[in-house]
Amino acid sequence: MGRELFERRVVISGVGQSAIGRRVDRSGFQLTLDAILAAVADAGLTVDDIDGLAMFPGGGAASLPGYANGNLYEVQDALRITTTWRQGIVEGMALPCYGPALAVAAGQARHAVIWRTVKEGSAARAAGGRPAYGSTKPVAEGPLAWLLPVGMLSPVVQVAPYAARYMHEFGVSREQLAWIPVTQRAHAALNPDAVYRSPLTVEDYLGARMISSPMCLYDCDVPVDGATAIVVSAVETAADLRAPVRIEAMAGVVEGRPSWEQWEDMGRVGYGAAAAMWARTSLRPGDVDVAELYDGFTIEAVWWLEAMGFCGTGEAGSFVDGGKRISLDGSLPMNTWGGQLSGGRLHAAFGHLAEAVRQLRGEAGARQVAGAEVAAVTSVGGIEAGAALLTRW
Amino acid sequence: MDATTGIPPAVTEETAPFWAAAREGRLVVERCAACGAESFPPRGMCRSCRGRVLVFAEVAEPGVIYSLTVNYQRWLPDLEVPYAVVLVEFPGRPGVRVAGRLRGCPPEQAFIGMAVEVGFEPGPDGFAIPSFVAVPGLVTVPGLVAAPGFVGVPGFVGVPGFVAVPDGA
Repeated sequence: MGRELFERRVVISGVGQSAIGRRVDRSGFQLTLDAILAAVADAGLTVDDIDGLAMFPGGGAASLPGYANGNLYEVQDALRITTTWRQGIVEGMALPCYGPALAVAAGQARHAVIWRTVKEGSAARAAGGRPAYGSTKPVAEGPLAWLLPVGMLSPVVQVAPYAARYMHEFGVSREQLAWIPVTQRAHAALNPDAVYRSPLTVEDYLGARMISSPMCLYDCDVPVDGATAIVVSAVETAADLRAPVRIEAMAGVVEGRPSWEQWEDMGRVGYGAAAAMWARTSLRPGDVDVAELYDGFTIEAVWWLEAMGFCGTGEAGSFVDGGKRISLDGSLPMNTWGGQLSGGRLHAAFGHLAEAVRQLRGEAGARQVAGAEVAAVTSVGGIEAGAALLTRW
Repeated sequence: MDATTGIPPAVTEETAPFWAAAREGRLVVERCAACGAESFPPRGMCRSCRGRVLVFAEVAEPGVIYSLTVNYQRWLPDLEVPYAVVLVEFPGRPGVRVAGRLRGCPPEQAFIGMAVEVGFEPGPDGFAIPSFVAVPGLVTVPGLVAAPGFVGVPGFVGVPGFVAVPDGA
């Protein structure tokens, strides 16, 4: 390529997290500050080095139940920093580091931090169960106007038809897909920060209550309280950084109707983002040592396994069957921190990005994948989709 | 019929005709005055030619379930479960897919490729919401196309009398 890719001019320099749990009795604001301070220290920087601030989501979407980012202005006030670039990302590129990377690559900031804070664990408890997605508003606005009135009251109800269609088209069974949550639970057992660490079996999965068919309890990620912050820095500052990680390629393309119920081909999701990402690198799927694939629900990890080319379309069921390939010593260790299914719903691939950075640094402890040099990270799928490759410094 | 528990829609300039027709039990979708393409939900712009003059056309014929789910979780107090939510497409109307409830059969017996008739039921806040009706005995629909290699989803049981017609039939 004639021009240097923007993502090659930046690095991920720091990742930091607050306490994460089903219930953390601190305000979302304090969790946000904990994560930012941890990420800045992890980068080898000080708060005074930070000149870019972003949070996901911002704006009106920030008021959904358990969305606890705090307020951009108040966080900046608490940090007492000068910013040259700020963004409250309401919608857009699904990978959290995308906007900050653009800003840093363009010289608008040298060290930008982006955070995501959730208190969805506490919100679920307060509601006596996981609350309806739009229940904080009296009416369903925008895209939700076609979902909430007819009973598609939660993301699981909106995504379940994708799983039904996928299984219908490709003849994939629940017994096969069970190996995704089961294998990820085994990974979570090695992650002291994961929310659910006790063993899970295929029998447990098949015996679990159905939430929105064909998706059962263990197909759904776990609402938690917790914050993740990620620092993106200019590559020329590498000497100042403790342990930077390169961004080899990154893309976010939405090629279908950006609507949960109108997506034309529910058996295939994420292909646009994956293809655009692969077009930016000479690395191939076989070069990937560890895959942190978005798993808000089991079926989303299925999308990404296929869209990224780790297996063929319709082949994810046989690919994950038995769990061997996606285990820590398999050909494609997947969601090595437990993913959102067992590690907690940190949302929008913040948890996945943090884990990819730790794996590439060799700082993943008991769940470390030996010799991890290339990590794939994907986010969401469908209405928003992002894919990236990170590589060891 | 008791109103379905839920959250009512915000009504906008674009969507008001849809909700008004729904109260009359009619399903209407946008049709472009320039190119004739139909689309849902209404945007005030043709999704085919970007024309800005649109009329509403009624969809009265049966549709076919593109995909579905049966929800068992009580997301709101007083929400009656389980219920099926179906995504319905209409032969000859590309660009039109409508989400709704399903009546006329037990929710677990709905399946991809099943024919349904258009209908509505009382919803939250006085709105009528799409509520498709399973029609035993409605064996085939002209032009009905189900997915290739219809295999059924484990856990879903087909209803005798419903026939999914493979591509090309």
